[in-house]
Amino acid sequence: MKSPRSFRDAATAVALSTLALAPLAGRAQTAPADDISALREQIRQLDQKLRVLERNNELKDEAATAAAQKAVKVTADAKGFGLTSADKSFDLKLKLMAQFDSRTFLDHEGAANRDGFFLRRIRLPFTGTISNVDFTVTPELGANALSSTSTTVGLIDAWVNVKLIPEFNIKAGRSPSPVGLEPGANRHFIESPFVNTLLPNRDLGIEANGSFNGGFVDYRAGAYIGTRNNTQSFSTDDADGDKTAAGRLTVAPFFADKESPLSKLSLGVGASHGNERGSISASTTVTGIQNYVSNGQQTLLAIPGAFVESNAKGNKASGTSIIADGDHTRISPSLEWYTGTPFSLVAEYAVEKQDYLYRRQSAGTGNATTGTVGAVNTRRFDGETTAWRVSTGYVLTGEEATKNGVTPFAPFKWGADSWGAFELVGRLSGVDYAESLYDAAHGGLSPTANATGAFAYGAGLNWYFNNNFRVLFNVEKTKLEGGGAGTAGALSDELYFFTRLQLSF
Amino acid sequence: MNLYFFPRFTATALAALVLAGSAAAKSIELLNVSYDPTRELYVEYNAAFAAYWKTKTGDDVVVKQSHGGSGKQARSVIDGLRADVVTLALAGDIDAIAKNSGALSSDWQTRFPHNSAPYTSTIVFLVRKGNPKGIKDWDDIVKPGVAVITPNPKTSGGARWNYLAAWEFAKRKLGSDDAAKAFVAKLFKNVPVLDSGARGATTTFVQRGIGDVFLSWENEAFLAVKEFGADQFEIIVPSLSILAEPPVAVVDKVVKRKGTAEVANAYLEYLYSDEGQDIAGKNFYRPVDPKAAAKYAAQFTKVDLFTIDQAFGGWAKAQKEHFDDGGTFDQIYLKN
Repeated sequence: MKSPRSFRDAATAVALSTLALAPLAGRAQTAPADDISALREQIRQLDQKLRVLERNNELKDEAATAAAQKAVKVTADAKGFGLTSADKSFDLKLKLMAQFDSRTFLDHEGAANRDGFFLRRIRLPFTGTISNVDFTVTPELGANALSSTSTTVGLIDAWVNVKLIPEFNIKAGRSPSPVGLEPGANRHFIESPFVNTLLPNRDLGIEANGSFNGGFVDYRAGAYIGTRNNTQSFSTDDADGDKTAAGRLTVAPFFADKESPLSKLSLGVGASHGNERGSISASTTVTGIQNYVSNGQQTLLAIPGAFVESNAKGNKASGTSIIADGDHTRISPSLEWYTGTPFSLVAEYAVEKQDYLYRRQSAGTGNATTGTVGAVNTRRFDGETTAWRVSTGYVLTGEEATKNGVTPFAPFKWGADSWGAFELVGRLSGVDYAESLYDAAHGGLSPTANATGAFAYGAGLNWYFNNNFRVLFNVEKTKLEGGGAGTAGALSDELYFFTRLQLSF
Repeated sequence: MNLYFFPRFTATALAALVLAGSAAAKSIELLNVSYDPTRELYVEYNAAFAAYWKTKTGDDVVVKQSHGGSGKQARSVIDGLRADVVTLALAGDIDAIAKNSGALSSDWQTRFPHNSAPYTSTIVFLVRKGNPKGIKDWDDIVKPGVAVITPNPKTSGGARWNYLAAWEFAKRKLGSDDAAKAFVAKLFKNVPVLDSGARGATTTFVQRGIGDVFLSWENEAFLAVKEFGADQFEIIVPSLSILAEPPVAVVDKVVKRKGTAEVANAYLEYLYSDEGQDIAGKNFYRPVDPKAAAKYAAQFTKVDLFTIDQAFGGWAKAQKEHFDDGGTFDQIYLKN
């Protein structure tokens, strides 16, 4: 369709041609001046009408554009479903992450066959920005335990971050703990390495956070309830009433040199210090300590919590507990290097020092009238556990490896010779549990019945179909130190083959 | 961990932040939501005020401008546009903000001198060079075949001044409101394009070449002649016109939240200073300060001016009778 302007030009040209040809019609040489004036006036009026038409169309377009700019923007793309206000001060997004896992243990010398299918995680993050406040609410459904008979439902994240200035913001709620690297740092492998079993997963509290020089230095520092290692529980971890101070400082020393392969190298250190106390009552024991698991999610070290307070004569109950009882300090330095090439590297170390209380109650004798109360033996001690890991990846198809994964040059398409991206990954990791736990004078755990440490090495292939769907294959061997058949599924050396199908947007 | 030290640590950190903040020069941003033809005025004025404020306080102030039809701008502020100050075409639009958003009190017009109007203006005719339609007064623009350019009174403050000026002229000449209404109806029959704001109407007349006469803010007419040359346009001053008093106000609710009350008040006060008044005169607004008014008197033709209070009993009344839904403009324009 011709634009009004070109239509006007064409019409004007026709009118002028008519005017020019008028003399040829025979009247020209004798045409009265009035006729020519009248024709000129007609042309002027015609020109004005066309200009008016054009301008009114222009105004309609402007009004339509203005209305479109004011309209709420609805999006549905690889990043989720979104609603954004015209001035972008309101931005809401609904996302999904679903992980379906298959676990096969190739060596069944352990206490139990733990093979199976798992709905590992189903998360529905609802994120957004309202004016200068960011928020995230993430419900999670899923079950990590083979024996689980019900779906775990809970809130994995629920926080608000009030943005004041880039260097200083306030975040409150439940979010990934600052002590360790953010969850994405484990993306090379399906399951987290030993380091994560020494650090809290999520914690509940209030923190200051910010960034200097556009990302050269990032920090987080705050007060939290002090969640147990490798857990994400809510306020139950604050039963002792003490807060834990925690934070992380990250420096990207070559951040400014965008051309440098070191520009995305970041060095960080996280730490926490708090006072953690378990509890023992007549009915139950809360150790305040999470059991330690292998990279294959099998229990390696179960903290005993069988002691039950009893002052009754003749009570035959007996048992041993080790509970948290005092200072708990963690330090975790890290290195992340996303080189801007297919290669990526993440290294992490963690050390935790915990004060413990050992209590053992022997069985009472006789009856409730004449019998005796079982003797109680207690002692305090501390212990230091360390873990480390190095994970690396190389994208065989040449794409850049990033913290969030890999965006394939050619997303997978059946029959189109388009296969997505493939990344080879490898990991070494190890853990050394506190020696004092096994010392007869302290924790008293049997070093032959429990693992005292472990070393694992593994490899895998990650297949990125597109930005939203990936399939991961991992094989990992864990060699135990000490160990043997423990009480909670602990095993001899572990060799597993895990597969994960992950959908996220 | 016993965090008895935590409150102390927090207090110390906050105190350090406050001290650090107070020691350093601040960078302040204001948003001035204004009407269409004030763009050039406030570009020059904002630079002058920023220099003045820097000298006075050491702080940097950046004033962002937003322009559009005065009614539309008022609507935007009511809908949440975070204006620190509004400098609109007519008091009725700021009244609407006060009434519908509660962002400033109803006595806002008493905050600054001259009913918070630091400059005035009026309505004149801009015609094409040689005045081919022989337009001299309001009578001439309602004749058949004369194309009149004026924006939409529903969205443009300037258009409302135009409308009321024509109405009052007709009422005085023809003797009744009914006759005035018929006169204005004839006028709007001659309007081929209804822009939403004065700057758009200027574009229609000056750049798109549409129409025989443009009912224009005086400063906008001068600007068109200055920019496009006296060989293209002429300014015709009618026998009677209206004294337009574009007012200014601080949006209390916003400045309180942003902590910009002091600088926002200073920004509007400075409009009354010698420099502010001089900049208004340079941009073809009529300064209210007698000294500046005298300096620029020569550039303005003398014209018989009436005020909105004299002729229509104030903006609230005029707005309700003429421009609210179902008012005389709707009756005329929908009928046309």
